[in-house]
Amino acid sequence: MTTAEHELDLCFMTIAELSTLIRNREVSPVEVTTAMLNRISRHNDTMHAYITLTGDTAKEQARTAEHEIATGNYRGPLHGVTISLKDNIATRGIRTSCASMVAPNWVPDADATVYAKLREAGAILVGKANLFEYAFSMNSAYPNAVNPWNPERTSSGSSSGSGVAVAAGMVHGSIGTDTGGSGRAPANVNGAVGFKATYGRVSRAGVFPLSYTLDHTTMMTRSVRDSALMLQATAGHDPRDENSSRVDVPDFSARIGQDISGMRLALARGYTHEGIDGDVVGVFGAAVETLRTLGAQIDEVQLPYVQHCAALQLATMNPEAAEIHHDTHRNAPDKLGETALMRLDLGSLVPATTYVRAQRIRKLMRDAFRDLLDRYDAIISPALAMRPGVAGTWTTIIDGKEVDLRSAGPEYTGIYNLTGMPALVLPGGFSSEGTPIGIQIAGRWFDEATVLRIAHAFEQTTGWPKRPPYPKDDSANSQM
Amino acid sequence: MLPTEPPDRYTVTAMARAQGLDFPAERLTTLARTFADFVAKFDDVWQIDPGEHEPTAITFDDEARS
Repeated sequence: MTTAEHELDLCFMTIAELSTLIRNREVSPVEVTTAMLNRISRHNDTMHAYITLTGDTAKEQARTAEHEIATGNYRGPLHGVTISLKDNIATRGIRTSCASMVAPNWVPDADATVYAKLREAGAILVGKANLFEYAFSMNSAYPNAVNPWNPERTSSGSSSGSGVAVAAGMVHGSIGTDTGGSGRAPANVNGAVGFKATYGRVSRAGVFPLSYTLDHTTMMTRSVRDSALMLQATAGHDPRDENSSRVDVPDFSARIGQDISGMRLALARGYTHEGIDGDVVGVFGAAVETLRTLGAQIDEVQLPYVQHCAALQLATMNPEAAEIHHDTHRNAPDKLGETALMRLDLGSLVPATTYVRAQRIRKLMRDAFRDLLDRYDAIISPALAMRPGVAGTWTTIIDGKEVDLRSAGPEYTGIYNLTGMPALVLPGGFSSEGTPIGIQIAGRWFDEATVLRIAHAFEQTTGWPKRPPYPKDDSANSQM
Repeated sequence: MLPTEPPDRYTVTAMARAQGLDFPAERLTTLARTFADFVAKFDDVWQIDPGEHEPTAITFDDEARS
């Protein structure tokens, strides 16, 4: 094996694979970090996965990790593994742009809790990942991240850079955010695992907010097991986050590898009929049969209140965002992208009575899902109804019909932001255009371990994680 | 304005100005359309009886959300 091939292998290893080698001192954190920084420096100009590279920080952290491990102070499975953060997550002394021209050079004076926890676990920060402006507008001040399976197709968002970097072997794991599907949608189209745990499970302190009651901090990884490892390192109560949960943190990997025979899964009716792309139907149908083969008992059910998700999402997210961006909206609207402005305009006009009613109906939704999950272990559905659309647009095609991504999303992903349930998207197959298509598994509040167990069992049948065709690899020779 | 009445351009202008927002014409046209779409979409939600539930989403604690 050449040096270049070895470095490439290091970049595409899962966290679980890599951590075994690091723990056994078969590879060093410096070697891993060098390989990753080299790959990022070669390809970021074409892939746009990162807004800011943190090479100096990464090298220093890698040397520290190497010394600690060499002296018997191994911290755990993230020690010496590279990570990135969506660039709306605060990093002390490192620019945090939110991909906006409003405050493009903001340098926070404190780390977000999620980054502080990852640093404590020994992870190595290689960069701040690209995103949609403030996590809700495609009109970013930066070029869009590029889908590594088909550059002409969207990489989705808003955690676009995290999804692309993970899938393209430009980081081992990334932290994104998810308010209506912003972590799961890019996982879906780029071929990664995107997992938002229960609302409040992972701290949002230091994450620039979009919507207080819908925001989640999300794991973006190449495998389900890696998702459990990232969640283990970041979950837990945080007094800096007012809505942080005090529920005990279990061992999220404990049930991974257990079979799913006899488990009861609810198949979301409506997601397999009209208004869904034929390729998605095909991949999801095959996934359902696979899960049946694994022993799961699957019943079709009607998800409660699913038809109201778009209205409830709009009535909640837009007013909360408009309050957060109140001053910028009035004093510097020219610095905001067109979509951001449209959403803030609408959010400013939603009557308070409408907002309050939406929150009361969300309570009804949670009651109805609680009843449903008394009878089922989890809910399965496609991740989204459509194939990824043309890069840089909000539109996509479902069987020849042009569809606005923003109106098609809430019924699939946003429903679990409204309820706060854990939901995971993982690769299920490919479209006829060669882009990944994911399936989604949602579970009971604070029962992430069951979601991970089902996802892992399915993942073992798919051959993922796979390597995408882009970026094209060349030589990989340089020294740290 | 009743929730079931889609707002017109003048209503939207008045609502925006009441909040200190003054839009150029093109932006106002877009907003009037999107707001009307939203009001129509939310009209179905107004038909749901929320029972005795209070709007606790912002402050929901661990017991409420699990």
